[in-house]
Amino acid sequence: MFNNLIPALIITPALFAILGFLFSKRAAFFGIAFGLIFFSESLLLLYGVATKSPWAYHFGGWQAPLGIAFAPLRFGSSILGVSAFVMLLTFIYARFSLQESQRALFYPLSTFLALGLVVVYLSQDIFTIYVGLEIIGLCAVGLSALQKSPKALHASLVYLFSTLVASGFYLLGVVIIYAKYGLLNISALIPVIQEELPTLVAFGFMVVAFLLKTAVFPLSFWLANAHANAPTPVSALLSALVIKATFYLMYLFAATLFIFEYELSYFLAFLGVGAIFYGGIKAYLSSDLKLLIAYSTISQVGYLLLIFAFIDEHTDPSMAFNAMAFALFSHTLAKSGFFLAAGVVVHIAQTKEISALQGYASITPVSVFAIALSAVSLIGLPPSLGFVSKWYYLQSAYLSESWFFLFAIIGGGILSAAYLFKLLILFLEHPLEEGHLLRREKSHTTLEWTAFTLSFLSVFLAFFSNSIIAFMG
Amino acid sequence: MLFIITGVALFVLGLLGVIVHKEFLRKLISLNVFTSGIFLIFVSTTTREDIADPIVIALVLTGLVVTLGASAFAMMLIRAYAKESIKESDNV
Amino acid sequence: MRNKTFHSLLYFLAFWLFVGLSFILTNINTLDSSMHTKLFEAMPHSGVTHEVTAVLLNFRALDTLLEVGVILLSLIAIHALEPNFRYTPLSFENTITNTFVAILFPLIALYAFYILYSGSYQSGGAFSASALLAGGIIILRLVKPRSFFVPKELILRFLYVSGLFYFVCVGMISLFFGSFLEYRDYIASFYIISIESVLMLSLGAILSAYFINAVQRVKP
Repeated sequence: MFNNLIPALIITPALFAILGFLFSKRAAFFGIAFGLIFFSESLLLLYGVATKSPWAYHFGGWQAPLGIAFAPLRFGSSILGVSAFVMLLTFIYARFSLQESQRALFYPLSTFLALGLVVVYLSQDIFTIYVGLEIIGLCAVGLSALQKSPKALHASLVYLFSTLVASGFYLLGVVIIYAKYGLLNISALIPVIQEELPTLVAFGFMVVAFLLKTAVFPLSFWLANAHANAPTPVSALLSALVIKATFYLMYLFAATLFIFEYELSYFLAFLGVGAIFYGGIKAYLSSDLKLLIAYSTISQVGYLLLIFAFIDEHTDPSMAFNAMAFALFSHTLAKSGFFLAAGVVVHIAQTKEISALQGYASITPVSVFAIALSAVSLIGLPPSLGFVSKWYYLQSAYLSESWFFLFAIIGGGILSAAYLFKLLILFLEHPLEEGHLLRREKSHTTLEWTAFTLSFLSVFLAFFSNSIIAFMG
Repeated sequence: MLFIITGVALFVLGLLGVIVHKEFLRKLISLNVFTSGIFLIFVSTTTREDIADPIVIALVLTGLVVTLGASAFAMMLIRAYAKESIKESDNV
Repeated sequence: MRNKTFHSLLYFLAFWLFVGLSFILTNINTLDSSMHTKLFEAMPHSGVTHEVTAVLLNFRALDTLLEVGVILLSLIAIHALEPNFRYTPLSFENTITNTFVAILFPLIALYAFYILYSGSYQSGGAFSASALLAGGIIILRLVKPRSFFVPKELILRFLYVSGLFYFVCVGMISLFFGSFLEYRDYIASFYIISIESVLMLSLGAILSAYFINAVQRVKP
């Protein structure tokens, strides 16, 4: 039964994307129905992964080296599950926040995005992953181009070229590996792969591709404008799901295929520290609410990369892995909740200028509460998923006596507290004018509560951190 | 051998073009040169005794079609951007 | 000035990238490809005699399915931009071009079918055929923009999605007998030919739509 889940996870997005495109008047209906089915399928998959021994699915019945194999791993399937949940809530949000013409294309495109995510999180075949990456990249750019201002289109173009160049780099890595070993399957490659110059060059190209697609500083130039200028549900999908997919690949390849030089993995961790501070400072300086959130994404991606500082350490590597996994989950939930809540605030205020948002806690209390909860998780205050992540990172840094990273983690936390509290204090002050209450619409209640659910979970799930750790093994 | 070097040259030139050029249309053309370089490298490094590897040909065909879709979309996005910026400068 | 130094640095780096990559790639020594040997072992069960077609539509059919998805998805993404375009059609309509098209288009269509069918034993197949077909449609569209018959939007959309839809349906049927897109030996060639035919039509429609969307006048 669980065996057929994997083709089901391919069939469902393909069919619903087709349906949503064909009957564009009913696109929202098909989209939300897809979100429900997709989420329940990914839950079933999680259940299967937890109870069954690891298995692989061979498409077309052809065994691995020739055919394409998919293998659900614990980490990948849990990210897929969280992604499916975020997608479902964002789909509900989009039903009420986008205009009808945008909705007709938002749903088919993001359903295709789900297809790409399934491929990336489950596939064992490096070429199929390439096709999956292209699906994700094109969907992401298509979605961000739903906003038709010159600024947004320019940002989408920069995004498109970055993602296509990155795909090219990844493809070149695949080419070199195939030319060298004649294999495309990850588990078939593991026993034969050796530390040789061509292999290392291939890995180098792949790492650059992933860094560019995950928007790691200094290759993060495309992210801020693309995320800040897209329609709100799109921003949430892009920052919560899209960049995680390539980070997951980087982690997966590093854990299975890559032969890492100690220095190189340290270099990646230093890039992470650079990202934490660059993103934090830019976020503090920005006067545009959505730009602030986008820069905070750049900063949070840095925390994910810190795992490479501890990947070769003598200390328990599972601790750093837990830290990274929690950073990933916390950012996925908190950032999507943050973007969706900010969307409500921006919609009521009709402006993205932060200084004009004074006193919004009395106008839209639920969204501001959601933003506060997200902030708790992003800063890493207890009790939240972000706190669990930072706690594990601090422990690994302390045990391995890497004081530089210890201070970087603490400093990054203080920096994010600085820009998030600045925002929250502004929200809690007296409103500038009273007329805003009139701009509240009925649909805003649904929007607020979807955002709140995501932000709340980013805090609340911390109480289940032990079972999450037990599940990840 | 000659094909590999040509492929690498196309790859590097295309990459350079994407980075250096300011106009998006030029960037797009450079990008196509870049990917053609990769496909040429792919076929030429795996050809043994003048017989190309059928798996590679299939993969390259897949890659080509994907690139085609991406280029078509990029082209329309460039046009949309040009159109919108002209509209905005007219308004100003 | 800063730009200039930046550029010369880039050119310098690019040169060394070129030298280094050429050196590495020309000296690459391949291990025996087990994929390659497996491919020739599996060929008798593939339903076709040409290896490339067998890889594309049987051994690695999922890649092809996803790739059809990419083509459809770029079309949807282009639709997302469409309201921006309003152009008057170019016209090359006169006796010479009309006669030319009247002869050429059926020939192109016929040749596309030949390429499609020949894919099972030599190079060719759905993608080359659909590119040809799309080329024919585009020529037709360029020469006779006014009398060019465009079906209703919904019918067109059915045509666009038919390739992916049929592919997924074949996959679902195959689930009853084995795994996704697994064909029995005796029926494999039927499935492959039928998928290729549907793909040719729908990809031909999509590829020509890429072009036609860019030049057609959108009704206000």
